Amino acid sequence: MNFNKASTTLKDTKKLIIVLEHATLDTVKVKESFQLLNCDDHADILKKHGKEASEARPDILHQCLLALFDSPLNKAGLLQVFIKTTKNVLIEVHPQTRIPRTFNRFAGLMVQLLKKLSIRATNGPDKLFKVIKNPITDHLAPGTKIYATSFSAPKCVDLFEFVPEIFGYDPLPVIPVSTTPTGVALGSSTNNNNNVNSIQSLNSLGGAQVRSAGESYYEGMEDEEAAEEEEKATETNNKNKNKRKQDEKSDNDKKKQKTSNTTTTTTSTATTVQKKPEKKSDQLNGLQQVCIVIGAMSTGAMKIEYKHEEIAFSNYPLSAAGACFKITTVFERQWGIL
Amino acid sequence: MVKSKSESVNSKKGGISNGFNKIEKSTPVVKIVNPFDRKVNKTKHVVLNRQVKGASGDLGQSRYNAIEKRKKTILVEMNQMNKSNKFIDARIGENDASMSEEDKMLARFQREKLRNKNLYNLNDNDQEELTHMGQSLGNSLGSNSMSLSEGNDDYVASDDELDEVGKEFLSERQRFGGGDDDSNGNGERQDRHKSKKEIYQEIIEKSKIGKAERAKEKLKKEALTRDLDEEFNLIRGELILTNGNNSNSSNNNNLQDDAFLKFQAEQRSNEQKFASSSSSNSTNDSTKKPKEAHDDFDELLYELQGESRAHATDRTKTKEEQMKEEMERLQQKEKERLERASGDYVELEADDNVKDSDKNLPRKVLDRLKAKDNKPKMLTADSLDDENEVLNINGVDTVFYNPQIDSDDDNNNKDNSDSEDDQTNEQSSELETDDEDKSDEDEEGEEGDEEDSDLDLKDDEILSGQEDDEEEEEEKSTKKLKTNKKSKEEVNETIPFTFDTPKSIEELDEWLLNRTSEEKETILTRIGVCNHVSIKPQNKDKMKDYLPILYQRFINIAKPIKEDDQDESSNPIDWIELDVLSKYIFEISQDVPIVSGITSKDLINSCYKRICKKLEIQSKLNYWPNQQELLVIKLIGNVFPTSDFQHPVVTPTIEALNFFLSHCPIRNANDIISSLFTMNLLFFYLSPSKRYSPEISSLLISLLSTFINHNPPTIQTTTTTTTKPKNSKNSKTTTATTTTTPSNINSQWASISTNILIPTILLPLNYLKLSNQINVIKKIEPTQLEFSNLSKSNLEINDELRINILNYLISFLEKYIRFYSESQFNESLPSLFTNILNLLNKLDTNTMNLKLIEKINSLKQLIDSINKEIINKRKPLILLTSKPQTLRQFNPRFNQVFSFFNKDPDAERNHTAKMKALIKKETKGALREIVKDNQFIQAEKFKKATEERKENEKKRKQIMSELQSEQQEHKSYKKMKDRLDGRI
Repeated sequence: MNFNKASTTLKDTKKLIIVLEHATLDTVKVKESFQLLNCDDHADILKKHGKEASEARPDILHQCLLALFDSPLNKAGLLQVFIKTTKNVLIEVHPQTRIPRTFNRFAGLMVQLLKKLSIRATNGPDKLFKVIKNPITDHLAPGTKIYATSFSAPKCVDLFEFVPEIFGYDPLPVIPVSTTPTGVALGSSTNNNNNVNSIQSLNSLGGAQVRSAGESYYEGMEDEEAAEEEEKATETNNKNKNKRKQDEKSDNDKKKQKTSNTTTTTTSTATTVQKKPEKKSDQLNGLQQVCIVIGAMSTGAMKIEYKHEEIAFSNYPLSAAGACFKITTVFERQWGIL
Repeated sequence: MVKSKSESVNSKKGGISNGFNKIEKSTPVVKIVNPFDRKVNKTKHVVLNRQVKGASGDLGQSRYNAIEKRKKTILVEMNQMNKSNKFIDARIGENDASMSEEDKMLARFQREKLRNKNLYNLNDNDQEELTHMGQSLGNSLGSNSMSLSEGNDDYVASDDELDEVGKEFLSERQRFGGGDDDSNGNGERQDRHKSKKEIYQEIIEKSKIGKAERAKEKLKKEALTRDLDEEFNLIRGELILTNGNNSNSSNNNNLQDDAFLKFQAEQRSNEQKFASSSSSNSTNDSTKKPKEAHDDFDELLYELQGESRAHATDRTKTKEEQMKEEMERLQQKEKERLERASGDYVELEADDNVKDSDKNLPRKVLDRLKAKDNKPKMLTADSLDDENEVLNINGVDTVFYNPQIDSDDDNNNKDNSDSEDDQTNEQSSELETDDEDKSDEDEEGEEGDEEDSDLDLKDDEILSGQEDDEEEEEEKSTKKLKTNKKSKEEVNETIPFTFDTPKSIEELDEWLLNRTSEEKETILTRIGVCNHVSIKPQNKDKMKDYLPILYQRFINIAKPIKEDDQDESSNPIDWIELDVLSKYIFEISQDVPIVSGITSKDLINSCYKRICKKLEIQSKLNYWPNQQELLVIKLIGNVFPTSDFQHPVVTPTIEALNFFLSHCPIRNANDIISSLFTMNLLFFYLSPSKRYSPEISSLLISLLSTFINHNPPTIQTTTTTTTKPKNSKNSKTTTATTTTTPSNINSQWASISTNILIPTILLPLNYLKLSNQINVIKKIEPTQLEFSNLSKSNLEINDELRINILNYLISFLEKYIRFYSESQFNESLPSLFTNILNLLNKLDTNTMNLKLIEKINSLKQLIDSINKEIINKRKPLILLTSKPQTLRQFNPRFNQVFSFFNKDPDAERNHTAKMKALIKKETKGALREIVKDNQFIQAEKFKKATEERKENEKKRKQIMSELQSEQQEHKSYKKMKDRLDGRI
């Protein structure tokens, strides 16, 4: 994939990249057939060649892929998955892939992939699985932040707070669409901010709840930091200018919404989240690309060199599939996907 | 090649095996340790638990081993080439040193002795037994001799024993086949020994055989006779049955003959009496009962025949036959009528017959016979006269239809213009006479409206279906009987029973002149019956000519008569005849629809063209369609279907009516009334298909708005008597000015603000204004407009007429709104109805009658309720929020059981492919080996050549040295000799 060609402005693209590291995908010959090495079916062969059972666990990879591709985030088209095996084979998975439900089918698929290096769709010319060239950083957009996840990481974060911080804006509103439209006016919480007050004033007219777009930048107090952070201060000034322009645009949109509400009745219900008055640091510098590495192995720790930061997002040791579920839910909430 | 080499090597090894075995044992195993000779092949796909051949190999060692192998095989073979054979003594025991020569010779002899085995010697000791038919010949001969000897002894003893011997002899004869030669041979032998005895035995045997054969033949004959007797009995039974059948058939024939004879007798009796079937049956019964009272069987046959006739008549009646029967009945009546008309005496007799018919039937028959006796005396003189009259009626030369119609139209137009001019002059002079005429015409108009309602009902009945037509025909038949009675009472004029189609309108007018409505109906029915399409195919052509004549008759009757005298005396329009004509036009147009369509279309075109010309010329005469034109259009709406989307006749009429409503000017009361009637007629056309015409609604709104504009809501005070003549004078002056100066008309133009949507309203100012006399206006009750007003040339506007117009508008609006509110597509109607409601709200109702006020208020409430219903049913617009689209997912294409090798599922095909691959592999290997062997051979040859070259070189050097030494000695000797001789 070529992210540079596809996206005109990097800020508009929202894409979560997940790398499943240390996946165990090996081919084994049993009599005349070739199978994917599995600790349950090929215990004798593992013993013969002096390997551990933990080195033959492709079912973990299967569970992770099912968890990722069944999430609403993938169905919304905002997910990209890469697989890297213990033999240093890098595989790209197309977002429109339907992963086989049963492990036996998955095993057959992977054996053929390792032999033929690519798998096509049944009713289309696209390649759903493709063995690509290492290293993985060549396939990521420039400036992508890579976070490795591990239970033994020194830093443990709450993802529901961590993700808004790294993107620099609050979660976008969620729009539930129901088949039977009902115009329900909901009261909103009171806030000191002017923007929220304007929304409240619209709600007081008797119309339905007004949807408010997310703001990527937020006005706040000036920093009183040391001289070492002067460069960051200059960058924040530029961000403030852009933010003012966006505020003006959002005000115009709100005025248009007022006129539309008088004539028509909207059936959507929206939830407004209370904004924090504090300033938020944009660690991605306006870029919307995040790469999270998850270990798809049963024991051990990942040893990778291309990570930028290592985090833990749970106090308990989670399975790889559980970790995938948690990450996808957080990003769904961030981008307003229901 | 490889195999052949190996075989040759093995064969040669057998000869030289000892030496080579020693050599092999002596060669040590050499191991080469050069690391650069090792080679490793890279594997592309690493698969666990897979052993790959040729992954790594020691090339140096394998090369050394190959060379050593070739030295043992190919080199030996090459050394033995071009060598002579060696004699090898392979005799038995030759190589064994332990054996002596004697032992050797003995062993060789033994082997040679075993080799040849008794190939050329016969077995003299073995003896084969000669046999015949499974028995040895010797034994059989012995047995025969024994039997003969025994026979002799027994023969001497007794005769019984001889019989036994004879039996045995016979059996023996059979055993030997029973041939003549054998028997002769045996006989000869016995004759020679016992000739007489044997002869007698033979005779006895023959006689016995003959007896047996005879007995068998007898048994066969008895069996045959038994079978034949049984068959004969069966044949007799069939013959008996056939005779029985024949007798039955003969009986049936007798019965049929009797019936046939009776039938003939009955037919003859029927023919003789010249009477109808019923009367003949009754007379036959009465006559035969006293004669044949005892013959019950004959009576039963007679009754059965009668029943069969009744059934037959009931089943076969169809429309065609029914029409034929009516036609025949009418023809008979016509004959009777002509016979009656021949003389006064005959008529009187007819009356007497009618009176006496109720008493006794046979008297009727006698009277008819008397009449027949009288006929030849009278008919000879009068029959010619009757025929002449018939010819006169049927044989009149006809005039073409089209010029008559054109001439009539021209005459009518002229008459109309003349009459209008006269009436205007009269009305201007005498006002009182007009008032009297109006009162009379009002009454006539009311009757016309009632008749219109009857038209609608009858038309509905006609349209319902064929069954109604049949019922009507039955009713007609009853009416015919009544009319016959009436016609008989009226002695002056009688109606003929048979008619041909009239060739022209004048002929039809002659037939229908001075007739009552019932008589006219009977005449038209008889014309239809006698010339029905189903009777003859030629009648269709007659109907094609007859239908336009009916249309013309309709038009002539629909025209109003505008003579004052006739108006007072009789009705101007004969509505009953119009109803009757419309029925027959409808019926006949179903038989010949094309002609009906053409004539009706021509009528509409003529009306349309007339009005277009007047609009172009801008004449001051009547622009709207006439009374007869409106009636014709109504007739067309009844004859043809109005609910079709497109029809060749109905759509032009609808378009014409829309044109009239939108283009014809409205200048006076006549125009207003005619526009209202045309509007109602257009609504009649559009209502079955529930279509909408904007011309109707625009005309309604514009007339209502003009009425409102002419009657402002301010209340005027009462005026004194002195002002009345002034107002009348002013009205006169205004009428005069409008006729002279058209500038006043320009004050009212069509625009949305004034709600006048038709630009052709050209009424003068305050034309529809009610007078100031409020008390008088309140007393005026609203009444319906009369259809007869159309015939009046100049109607003076009056408060009563104004109120009637308003009443008509309101009643039509109510009907209009109710109709369209029930339709399916009523969502856009409130925008139209609110406009009407606003106009009604502007209307000043203080000066109106209470009934009219109630009607207006009810209309307002109706409009409000309908608008509310329609608006409440509306659904507001809702924003459509669709769910976001999910990515489409694709299934990967892969084989669940995957193998690196593309194994073919077909076993045979896979095997053949495998064999081909193996062959290819072996051929390559063989070629490779051949190449290497050749290289080895060439290397050895080169080596030998070098050795030979060295030896030759050595010999050559040796020879050269010897030669050089000899030459040296020769030279030294010569030198010595020369020195001794003294030369040096």
